[in-house]
Amino acid sequence: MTSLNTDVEYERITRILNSLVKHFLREPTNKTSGKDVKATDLTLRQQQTFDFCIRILGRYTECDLCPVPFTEHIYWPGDVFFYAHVRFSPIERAFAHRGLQDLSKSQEFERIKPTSEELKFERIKPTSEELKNRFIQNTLPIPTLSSKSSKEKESLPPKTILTKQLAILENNNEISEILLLRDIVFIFQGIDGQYIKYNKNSSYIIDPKAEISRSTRGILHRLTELGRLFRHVNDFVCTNVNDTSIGLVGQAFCYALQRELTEYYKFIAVLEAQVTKVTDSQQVEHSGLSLKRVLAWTQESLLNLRMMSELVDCCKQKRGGALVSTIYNYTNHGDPFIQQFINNMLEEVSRPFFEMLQRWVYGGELEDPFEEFFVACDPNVEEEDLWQSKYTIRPDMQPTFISPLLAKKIFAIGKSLNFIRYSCHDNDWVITNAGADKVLKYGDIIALECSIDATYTTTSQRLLNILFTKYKLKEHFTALKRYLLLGQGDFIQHLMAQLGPGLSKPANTLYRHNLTGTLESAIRASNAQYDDPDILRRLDVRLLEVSFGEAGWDVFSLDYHVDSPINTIFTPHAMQQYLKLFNFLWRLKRVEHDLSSAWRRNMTNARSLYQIEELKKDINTSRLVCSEMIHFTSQLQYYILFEVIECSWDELVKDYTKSGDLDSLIEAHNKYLKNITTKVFLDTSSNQSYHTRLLNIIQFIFQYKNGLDELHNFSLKEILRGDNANIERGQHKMIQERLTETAGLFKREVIGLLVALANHHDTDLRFLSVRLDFNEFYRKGLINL
Amino acid sequence: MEDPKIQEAKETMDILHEISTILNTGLDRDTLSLCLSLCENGVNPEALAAVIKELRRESAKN
Repeated sequence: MTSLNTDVEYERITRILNSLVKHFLREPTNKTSGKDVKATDLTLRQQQTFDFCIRILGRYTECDLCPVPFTEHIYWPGDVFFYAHVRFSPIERAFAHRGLQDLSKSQEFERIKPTSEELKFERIKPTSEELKNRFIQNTLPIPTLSSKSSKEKESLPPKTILTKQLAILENNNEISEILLLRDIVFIFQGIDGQYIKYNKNSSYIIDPKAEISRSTRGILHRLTELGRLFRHVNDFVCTNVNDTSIGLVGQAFCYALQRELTEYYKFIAVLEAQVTKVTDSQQVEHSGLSLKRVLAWTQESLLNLRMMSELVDCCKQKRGGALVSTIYNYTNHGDPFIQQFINNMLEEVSRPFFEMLQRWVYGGELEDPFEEFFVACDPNVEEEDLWQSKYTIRPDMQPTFISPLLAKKIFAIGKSLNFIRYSCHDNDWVITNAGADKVLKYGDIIALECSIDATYTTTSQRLLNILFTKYKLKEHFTALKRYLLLGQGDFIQHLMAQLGPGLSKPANTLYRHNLTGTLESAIRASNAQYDDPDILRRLDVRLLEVSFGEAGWDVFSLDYHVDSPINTIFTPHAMQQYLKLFNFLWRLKRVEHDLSSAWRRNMTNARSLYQIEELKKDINTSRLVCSEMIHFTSQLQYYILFEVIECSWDELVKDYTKSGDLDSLIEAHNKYLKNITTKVFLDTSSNQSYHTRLLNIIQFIFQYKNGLDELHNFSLKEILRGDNANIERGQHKMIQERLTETAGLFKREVIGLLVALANHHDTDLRFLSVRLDFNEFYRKGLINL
Repeated sequence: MEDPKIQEAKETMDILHEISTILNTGLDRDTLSLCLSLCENGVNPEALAAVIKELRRESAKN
């Protein structure tokens, strides 16, 4: 059948060429009628041209210059010709676009034993020998005029070239497009084909020995890209789909890839069906299939696979939020097709992430077995520090479409929920509030932000509400100010009076239970008794570490017990600040107390003391110094209690009434404490010199007070002795000297402080210096210095 | 069965002719159809192009 076809083919070609020649060289021929126009019907000139043309056609088939087959291009627009083309045997098509092989070489090959491929072909077609013989026979009965001419004899007769050509083609087994198509379908599935094999260097190599024209090779190379990409993506999916370490988001990514690959498989299945149809069917009406057509069809899949491969490349090392971020970066692509693809992908990939987010935001649960969420939980942290250190943000896992502000809010929501649940023991609210019906998903960031905002507000409000009502945060603030910052004057006064004698003893003779008893009685005797019993219960005495030689005053301290959950606000650090403040204030208070008692004694004994003439002057001076000291302490106390503590308190109240969440509340409280400690010179960094100066001043006041006591005792003793004219001069002199010295030191220290304060950048402190030196008493001393 | 096929072929022919006019090949409908049938029978198109050129030159000599 094929041989017959070839003959007919040749006949047709000659006939058509004939008419073509005639068409161009219009000359009246003898016989215009008759269907089969023979070569003999041509004029001599036409005949010569015809022969020449045949030779051109023949030569072209053996020349190397035209490797590109044009036939497919020509057939492309119309399917009719295309069908015909596909239907024909490979030899015929080869006739059209063969021409790469060397003629002589091929002839040599004929003698060699047929290869396995040739043998395969033999089953379908007659042996090459037979064919060759048949062609030669065919040439014989058609005599050509030109063959007789001497010119033509030099070269082979055209017909012979053609037939030879055909014979060669038959021998060399041009690989048919159908075979290549079948190969390509395998390649698309990542399986090696007969001619095209996968190379280790992640590329496909077309068998260099296979007889495939250069252009076809080009097309094949372009098609193999699909196979390579498929392999790449499929490898990734296969290695990771059952690997749990990749994390939930990674698994979702694999799943999304797999879904896309399924789509791709569907496409391949259709393609394969087409290819089998082409190979099997003998009928005319099947859709034409060529490598070019496949190339056109695969464009969309190619684009998809390219993107997937790209994603696989950049997501290989990433996990969780980082992976989502990486994919999100691609959503800004200008191509709507790619954008759509990425968005679909992202929706799929971010699903576990949003599930986690939802659970976190509405339930406060952190279900993140692979550490992919941007909130991390440290299970070792105790409940006490839940707010401060149990949860942390992982910045690298935070998807880029969630802004830092939003992330912070999300973080705070979950933390608040946990805080409410575990520290405030309000599980019911968390459960009833859980917005299980709300589903967060990728796509509408604005809606997400809105719902996050709403949840954030309700949760924070709820938390603050609980703290202020159930846990009486406000009362605690007030209590701390009252008791630890000496706001409750009568209580402190009473405590001081009660404790005074006891605290003067050495510290190691103090017992806590005695002190608590005193504290109880101080509470009962003062207005503090009307305070909340819960708060009074927290009030306690604490003895600092006792070291040798310390008096009770040095180690005594009031304490305020805080427990969960309010210790989130009153952190140990904050409580330490409070204690430090209390110590300082307590010392100041004691100085004031001592001074006033000394003053009282001085006043009550004034009449009797004046009996001794020599002491009159000393007593007078001591009164002056005493009032100077009292002035100093009362001004300092006024400054601390009113200008520092009350002002900061006012700020704190303002802050906490408008604060939106616990974090800002904590911040406000810390600010409050910091403000106070800085202004009272208790912070360690900048105001150290002021603090030591103040302590020195207080020290001098104590010394002076002791000196004064001695003076009193001495005076009283002298009075009792009754010898007013003859006092013990030695002792008197000693006391006098000490008093003068201490007064001088005190004054110097105060002046030093004033100088330092006058240049302080804080206006409040400058005012303090003005207040201390309101009548420029110290200024004179300053000039004298 | 036959009718639509012919119709289709004709359409194709029309399109081809249009293309050839646009490309300024100077081939008329008859020549084009002859060329087509040659190609259809498996002649190398480049060879055919050479043949056409040759024929033109030959006819110009005339």
